[in-house]
Amino acid sequence: MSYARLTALKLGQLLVVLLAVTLAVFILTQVAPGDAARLRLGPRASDEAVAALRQEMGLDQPVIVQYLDYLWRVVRGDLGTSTDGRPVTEIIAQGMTPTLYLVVSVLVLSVAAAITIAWLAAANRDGGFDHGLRLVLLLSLFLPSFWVGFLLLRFVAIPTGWFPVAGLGDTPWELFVSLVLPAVTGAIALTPVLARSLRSSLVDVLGSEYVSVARSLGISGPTLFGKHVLRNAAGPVVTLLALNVGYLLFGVVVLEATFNISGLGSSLVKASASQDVFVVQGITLVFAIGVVLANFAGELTANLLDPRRVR
Amino acid sequence: MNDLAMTRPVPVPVPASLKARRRWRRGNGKLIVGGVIVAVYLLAAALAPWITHGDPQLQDLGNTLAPPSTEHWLGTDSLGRDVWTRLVFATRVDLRVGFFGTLIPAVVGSLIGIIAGFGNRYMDSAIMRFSDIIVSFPLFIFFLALVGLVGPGEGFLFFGPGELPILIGFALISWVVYSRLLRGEIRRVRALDYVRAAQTGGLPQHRVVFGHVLPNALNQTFVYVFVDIGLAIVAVSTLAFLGVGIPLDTAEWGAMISSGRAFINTNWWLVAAPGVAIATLAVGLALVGDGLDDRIKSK
Amino acid sequence: MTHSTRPEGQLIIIDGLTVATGSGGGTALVEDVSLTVAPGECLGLVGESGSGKSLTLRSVLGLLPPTITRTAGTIRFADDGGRLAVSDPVALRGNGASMVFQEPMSSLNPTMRVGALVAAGARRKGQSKKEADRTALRLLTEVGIPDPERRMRAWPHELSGGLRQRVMIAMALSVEPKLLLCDEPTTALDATIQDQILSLLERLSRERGLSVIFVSHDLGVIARIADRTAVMYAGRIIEEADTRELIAAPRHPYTRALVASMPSPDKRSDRLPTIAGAPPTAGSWPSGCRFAPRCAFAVDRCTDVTPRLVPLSQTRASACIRDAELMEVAS
Repeated sequence: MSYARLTALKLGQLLVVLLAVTLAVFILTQVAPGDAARLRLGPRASDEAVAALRQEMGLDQPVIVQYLDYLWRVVRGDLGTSTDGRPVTEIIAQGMTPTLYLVVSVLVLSVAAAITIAWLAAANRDGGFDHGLRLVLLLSLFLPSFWVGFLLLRFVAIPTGWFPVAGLGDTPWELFVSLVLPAVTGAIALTPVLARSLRSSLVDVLGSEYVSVARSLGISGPTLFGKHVLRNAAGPVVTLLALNVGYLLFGVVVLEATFNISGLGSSLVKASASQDVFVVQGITLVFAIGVVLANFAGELTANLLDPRRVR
Repeated sequence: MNDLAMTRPVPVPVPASLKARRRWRRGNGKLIVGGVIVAVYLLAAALAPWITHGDPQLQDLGNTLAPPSTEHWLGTDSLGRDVWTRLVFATRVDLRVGFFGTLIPAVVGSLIGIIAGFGNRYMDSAIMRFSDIIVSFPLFIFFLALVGLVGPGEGFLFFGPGELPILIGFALISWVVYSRLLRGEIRRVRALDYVRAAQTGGLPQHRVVFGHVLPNALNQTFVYVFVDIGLAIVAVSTLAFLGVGIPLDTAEWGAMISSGRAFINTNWWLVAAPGVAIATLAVGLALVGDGLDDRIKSK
Repeated sequence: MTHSTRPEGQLIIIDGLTVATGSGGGTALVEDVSLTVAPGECLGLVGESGSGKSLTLRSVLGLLPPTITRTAGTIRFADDGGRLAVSDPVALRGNGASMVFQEPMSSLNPTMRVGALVAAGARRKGQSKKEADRTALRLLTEVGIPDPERRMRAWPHELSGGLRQRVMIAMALSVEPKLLLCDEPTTALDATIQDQILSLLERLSRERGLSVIFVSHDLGVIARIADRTAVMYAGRIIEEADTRELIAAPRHPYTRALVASMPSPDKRSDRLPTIAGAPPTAGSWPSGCRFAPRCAFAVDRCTDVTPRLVPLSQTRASACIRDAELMEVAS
C-alpha cells in the first residue's frame, strides 16, 4: 500500500473517530442530570418560561434530532453559551493559549529528559545508573503531580522568589520563567513513562546487527545515533506518546489547578462544578479532538519512521 | 554427536542460575520492604480509632491551623480538626477505593479478555477495536466532566459519598490492560503447536489452554494489580484535589492537600503529609508487585 | 604461526589473540589464536558452534559484544606501502577491512533505503551525496542485483534473503576494503542462493584482489572457497593447511573426524560418521588437549599438556602431540 493510499485511509478513520467523539460528548450532556433549560434560568423561573426555553433550545425533540442539530452547530462553530452569557467559543479561545503553552513545555522537557536518561541507561546497561534509574522511575510514577507542584512552589518558588506562584507571565521572559515549575512538575510524571520505553528500545537497537554493521563500516557519533539508532528506537516511543496524550491533557488540567493558570483545564473544572453544561461540553470536545488528532499524528510519524508498517 | 548445527555461536553468558538467584534475592528484598509498608498501612486503617483522636470530622474552631504538638501530632487544619486523625482515617477511604477501583476493572477486563481470546475473529477484532478507542479517548477528561456534572451522589453500602461514581469511572477506563493481558496469553497459547495438535486430536481447547494460560496470565495480572492499586490511589486523590468525586470535606488525602493548599506558606505539612502518605503507600504496593514479578521471572 | 614465517608481504597478521568475558579475568573464549592472510588470499576458518571462530573474526574490527573483551594479542595490518603496523581494531573499520554479516534478515537497517545503506560507507569515506549514490548504484550492479536503479529506492524488507545478502556485500565493498571478513554469510540462505553468493564472493575477490577471511561451520563451503584453512576447536586453532591438503589428508584427529563426516558423493555407507560427545563449553574446557575426551586416539599424556600448533611442513601445522606416532601407524 502506498503512503498516499494509507494516509487517505487514515484520514477516513479520523473522520469516523471525530464523529464518535461528538457523539460521546453529546451523550455526556444527556446523562448529566438536571434540565438544561431550568439550569439556565434558575430555580425561581416559572414553568412556562422553562418550557418555552426548552422548545427554543430544541430539548423536546427526539434525541437523534438533537444530536444532528448539535453536530450541525458544532460544524458551524456554534458551541453554545456559558451560564454567564459568554459564547463558549470565546472561553475556549481565551483558554487555548495558556493550555497550549503548558502542553508544549511539558512535552519538550519530557522528551529531552527522556532521551538523555534513556541513552545514559542504555549505554551503561545494567550498571548502577540503570538500576538506580529504574527504581527512581518506578517511584516517580506514584508521586501525585499536584503534590509535587505544591512542594516545588513552597520550597523553590517561595524561598527563592525566582518563580511566580500563580499564573503565566506576560513578557516572553516572564512567560518562560513561569512555565518552568509547571513544566518540571509535568515532566516528572511523563518522563519516566517515555524514558522506560525508550531505554528498552535503545537497548534492543544498540544490540542489533544492523548497528554492528554500521559500526563495522566505521560509522560513529551523531550519524550513527541519528540515522541508525534513534530512527529505529523512536517508533515505539512515538506510539506510546500518542497513546498517552489523554493522560497528558489530564495532567495539564491538574497543572492548571495547581499553579493557578487559567487555561482550558481550569475552565473545565470550574464549569463542571457549576454545572455549566455547554462549557463542559465544548471544552471536552476540544480536548477529545486534540487527543484524536495527536493519535493520528503519532501514527503518521510512526509510519514515517518505520517503513515496515506501511504494508 | 557431531554438532555442526546451523546456529550462530552464542557468546558465553553469566550462568543463568546465578542471574536467577540474584533476581530472586532482589525480588525478596522488594517484597519485604513493600510488604512491610503495606502492612503498616493496613494496620493503621484497621486500628484507626485507637491510634488517633477518633473522629476525623471533629472540629475545634478555637484551635485552627495549630502547629504540630504532643496533643496534635500534625497540628490542626483550618477547621481545627486533628490532621493526624484525618490522615489515618483517610487510609481507609483511599485503600478502599484504590482496591475496589482496581479489582473491578481487573475482573471485568479479564472476563472480556477471555471472551476475546476464545472468541472467533470477529468477536476478537471487535473487542480489540473497541478497547483501542477506549484507550485513545481522553477518558479521564470525560470522567472529570461527567462526575462533575453528575455530582458525587450519596454513599452506597460501605462506600462513602462520591466513591461510587469514581469506581464506575475506573471500571470503564482501566479494564483494557487486563483484557489485553489475558487475551494475549490465550491467543499465544492457542497458537502453540502442541495445543493445535491436541485440538486436532479432539481434545477440547479449553482444558489445555486454561491449564497453560491461567498460571502465567494470573501471575502477570496479579503483579500488575499491585501497581494499579497505587495508580488508582493517586488518581482518586488527584480527582479529589480537583473537586471531583469525593467531597472536599472528607478525610481523604487528595482532598486534604486541596484544602491545605491555601495555607502552604505557614502550615506546609498540611500539604506535605498526605502526599507522603500517598506516595509511600503506592510505592510500597509497587514494590510488592515488582518483587513478586522478580520472583516469578527468576524461576 | 605456520608458513607465514616471513611476515613481509602479508596483508594482516593476527598474533596471540585471546578473547574473554568480563574485562580481564573472565572465562577465555578464544585462546592464543594466530592467523595470517596474504593479499588476494582466502583463509577459511572452520569450527563448530562455540569454537570461537566468530569472535575471532569480530575481534579484528573490535565488534565484540559489550560483555566480552580482547585480553591479549596484536593485530598488524599492512598500510598502502605494504608495511605492517600494529592496528587498533576500531581504526580498521571501513579502513582497509570490512565485514559481511551472517543474517541478511537483520543486518540491514529497516529504516533506510537500500541505496542509502550502500552509500553510507562511501559517504563515510568522504564522498558527496551524489558521488556516493553513483558509487552505490555501481556496487549494486557489481554484486548482481537486477534492476539496480529501482532497487536503490527499495526498503530492505522488500528484498529476499539472497538479494539482501548481496546488498550486505555491496555495503562491505563500499569502503574499498583490502580484506573482507565473512562471518558465515551463506549459512542463513537456501542452498541454491548459497551457491550464487559464494560464486559472487569468488568473483569479487578475484576481480578486486581482495583477501578474505571466511568463517563457517560447513567444511563443504570452506572447501570450495578457501585457499588455506585453519580449524578451530574450543577456542584454539588445532590445524592449519592448504585447503586441498587439509581435506585430502587431514592430520589432527578432530580434522579427520570433521572431514570424515562431510557428506560427499564418494562416500558409500548409509550413515555418516559423527563425532561422539559434544564440544566443551567455554569455562569448562578440559585441561590438556581439549579434544581428548572425544578423540579416538587419545592417551593419558594428552590431558597433561595443551598441545601447541606445531609446523609440520612449509604449509601446514597441527596441534596434536601424537601427530608423529599417528602418521607412523597409518603408513
